[in-house]
Amino acid sequence: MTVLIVGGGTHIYFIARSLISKGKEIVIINKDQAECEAFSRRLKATVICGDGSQPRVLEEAGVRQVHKVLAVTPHDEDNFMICRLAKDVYGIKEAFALVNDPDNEEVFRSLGIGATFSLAPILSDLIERRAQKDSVIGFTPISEGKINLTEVVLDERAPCKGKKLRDIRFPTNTLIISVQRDGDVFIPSGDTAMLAGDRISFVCLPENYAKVLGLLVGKD
Amino acid sequence: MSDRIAYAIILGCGQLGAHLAETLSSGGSDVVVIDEDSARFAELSDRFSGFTVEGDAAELSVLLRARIDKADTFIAATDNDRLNIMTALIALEYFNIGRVLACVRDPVLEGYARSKGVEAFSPLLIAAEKFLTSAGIPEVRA
Repeated sequence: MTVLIVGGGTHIYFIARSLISKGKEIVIINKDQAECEAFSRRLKATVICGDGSQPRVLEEAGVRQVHKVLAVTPHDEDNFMICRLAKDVYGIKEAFALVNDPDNEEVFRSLGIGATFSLAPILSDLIERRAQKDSVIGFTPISEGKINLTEVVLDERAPCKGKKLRDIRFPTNTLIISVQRDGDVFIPSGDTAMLAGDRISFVCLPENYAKVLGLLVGKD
Repeated sequence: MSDRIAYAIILGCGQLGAHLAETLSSGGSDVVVIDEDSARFAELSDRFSGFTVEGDAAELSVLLRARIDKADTFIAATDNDRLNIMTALIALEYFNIGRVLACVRDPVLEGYARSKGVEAFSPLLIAAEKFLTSAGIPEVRA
């Protein structure tokens, strides 16, 4: 499978490296000559130096042969153009756009770019939650941020320590998804007892978030 | 498309945008001009009696500040093809504005924008056409 990435910066390097290690073919389009040279030296990828929002450059990069497109430039208009061209002109079904302005996310979706992601709300939420509690180690908004997947780590003082899940009085609409213990991950049952060091991931409605957090890791 | 223009948004206050803004404004239309560089509003002569909004139109909030939801005409005339096409498609497909025009320099992108219902114009192609016509050379448009 070939993935075309348009954009620059250190994160592109690491995204590409990770995809290459999973056996994907990578083509990168980047405007900056020096960055292109660095990518070619360090990655087993095809690197094209040019403006990826221009059809000519996309075609030079073999856009007609790729399976997925990832548009991650700092300019929303470029990411928009790249994904629309990928879908409308080159028939690529999966085109992902980084949306720099979170307000644009809904607009992009309604204009046919279904796969969008916006870093600002994820990072600001993460900072807010992390600022609240050190025990929250993962926080992923899903369903357009209406609900969040949260991962916490239990310490010695966790109120749920030693209790079975069935005995913890979670609000309804709470789902404990997985437990990571000593490097293994498993899906818990009602009989699973919580231990210090466990990494618990859960989903609950936003109005119950503080309560669930309190039951698992306690109040600061 | 010969309906009277009641409320037009013009994106980009360069020579083209300023000229259109003045013409529409002096013709009695309500006009809002958007540009990220407020110094460019100095291009507007006394014939312009509309409003100006400073900001990057790639931010939805800037388009909303210009009351894009109320406009019947949207003209994208910056020197950035992608910005012109994106905002034109937002105007057309998201805000359902009836008359959407965009200045697109790249001939391939111009063709793309046209295929999506935007009235796209390439100043370069128009100039070339005029030139070739007056020189008596027939041109077949791609």
